[in-house]
Amino acid sequence: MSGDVIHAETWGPRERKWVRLFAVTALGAVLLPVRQNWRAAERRTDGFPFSYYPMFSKRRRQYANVVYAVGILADGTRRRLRYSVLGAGGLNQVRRQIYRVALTEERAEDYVTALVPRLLTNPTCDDLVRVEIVRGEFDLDECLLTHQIEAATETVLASADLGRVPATAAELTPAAELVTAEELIPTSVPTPGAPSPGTSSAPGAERGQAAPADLAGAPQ
Amino acid sequence: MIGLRRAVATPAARLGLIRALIGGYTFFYLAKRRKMLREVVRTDPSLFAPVGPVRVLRRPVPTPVADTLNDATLVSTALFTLGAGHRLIGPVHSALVAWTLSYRNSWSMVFHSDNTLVLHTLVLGVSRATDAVSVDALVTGRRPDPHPRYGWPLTLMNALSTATYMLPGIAKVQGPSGWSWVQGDSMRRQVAIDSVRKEVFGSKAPRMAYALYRQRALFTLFAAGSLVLELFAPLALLNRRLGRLWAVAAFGMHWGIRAIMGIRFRYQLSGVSFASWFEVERLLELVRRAR
Repeated sequence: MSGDVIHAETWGPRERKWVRLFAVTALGAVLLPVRQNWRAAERRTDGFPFSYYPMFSKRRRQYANVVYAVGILADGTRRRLRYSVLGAGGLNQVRRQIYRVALTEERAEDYVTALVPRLLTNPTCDDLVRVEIVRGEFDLDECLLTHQIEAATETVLASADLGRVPATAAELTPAAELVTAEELIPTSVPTPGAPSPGTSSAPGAERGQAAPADLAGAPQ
Repeated sequence: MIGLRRAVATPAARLGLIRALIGGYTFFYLAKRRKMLREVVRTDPSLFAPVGPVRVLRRPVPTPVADTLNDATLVSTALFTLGAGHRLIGPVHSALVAWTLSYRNSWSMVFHSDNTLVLHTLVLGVSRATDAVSVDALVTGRRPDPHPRYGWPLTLMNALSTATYMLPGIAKVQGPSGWSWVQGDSMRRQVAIDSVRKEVFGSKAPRMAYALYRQRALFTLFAAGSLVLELFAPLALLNRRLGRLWAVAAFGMHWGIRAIMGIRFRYQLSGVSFASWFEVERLLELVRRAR
């Protein structure tokens, strides 16, 4: 701000008062959310554009949970689904939505039900016969140091068949009919670690606690 | 506030050019995302979590209304950038940008990187930012002398910017790590979880995240540097040179975050966010001389 100080009389009659009021209000509104830091965690609320930046006050541990979707091919190969397949708004928005619905609100079945029609109309998912909503626990040190992003443990929160007959089975039974999306009934595994209903398990993977090796076929 | 109290005469062209830069950035930002915004407003209504001014709503507005508001924001952005009808367009544009970005953030994910853009736009919208470098100035033929009324918006923008850096600094030391945040472990884990999320959702974590993860000492350095930059940000308002130094350092920090975490704070990375710290009107003089 270079230049000479201008005399007060060159301002409009109420201009300076208005500027002061506006400046104090704007700065106050931006600074006010800082008080959230001293509130109990469950009572904190974030806002926009006035925020207390909660992402910086979270405890970061060696192990972290991520909720994501896994597509399963006819041969049992498992493939994590890209964020753009799951919804609009970018990776972080999709990640927050799936976490919120599946874990915070415990509505993983709703999420997978809504996801099935989306997958059926997506050409990149033509090879999938099943989808699972999974909570994976990741050892961050292990992942970053070995460059292998594999979950230490996985819990299937919900799953659904896509109604497609695997290619090999279709060849054997030509009369097999494809079911429509409306006929799909999502299955879920409400108890982490417990054996699942038979229809929803991936080959070789024990429900609830899948070993990292079970995801060996998942492309990175 | 210190800067505001002793606001000094500032060329109208500086404020006008800042308006044009921020408006131009906003137009580019929103136009590129028009399709995405149309998709976002069609998200499952159960995922609607209103923030900011959108909290007046209980449920999403009908999609044609949301689309119209998005497009109206684009139009207002164009007029704001050109500096046409600012007495009306300025406040309307500020309100529309605040609404559109709040609505975009009302689907379970708040993009805090847009905070500063909204705040800067609010200030410009109510200031006399079209007394130069604008259609309004061309029409009226005004050539105003330097005046503090062209300086206070820039000082306030700078003050708001420093506040948005200080708050994350406070959140870090007020969080569970306390002052031990400066040791860098939290930042290191933040890099790790962000990389894992990227990979799990089909994106790619930057190579630097893996390459640097072993370097604990480096993260201590990064953490200490970022904390100093954030907590002491308001001191940048006390001195012009210090302010510019701070702006350059913050700009560098965002590029560092981009390299290590792959996070794009677009407004900050573009440099437009920090333009208000500099005598940008000199660019116009350079252009005139070049002719």
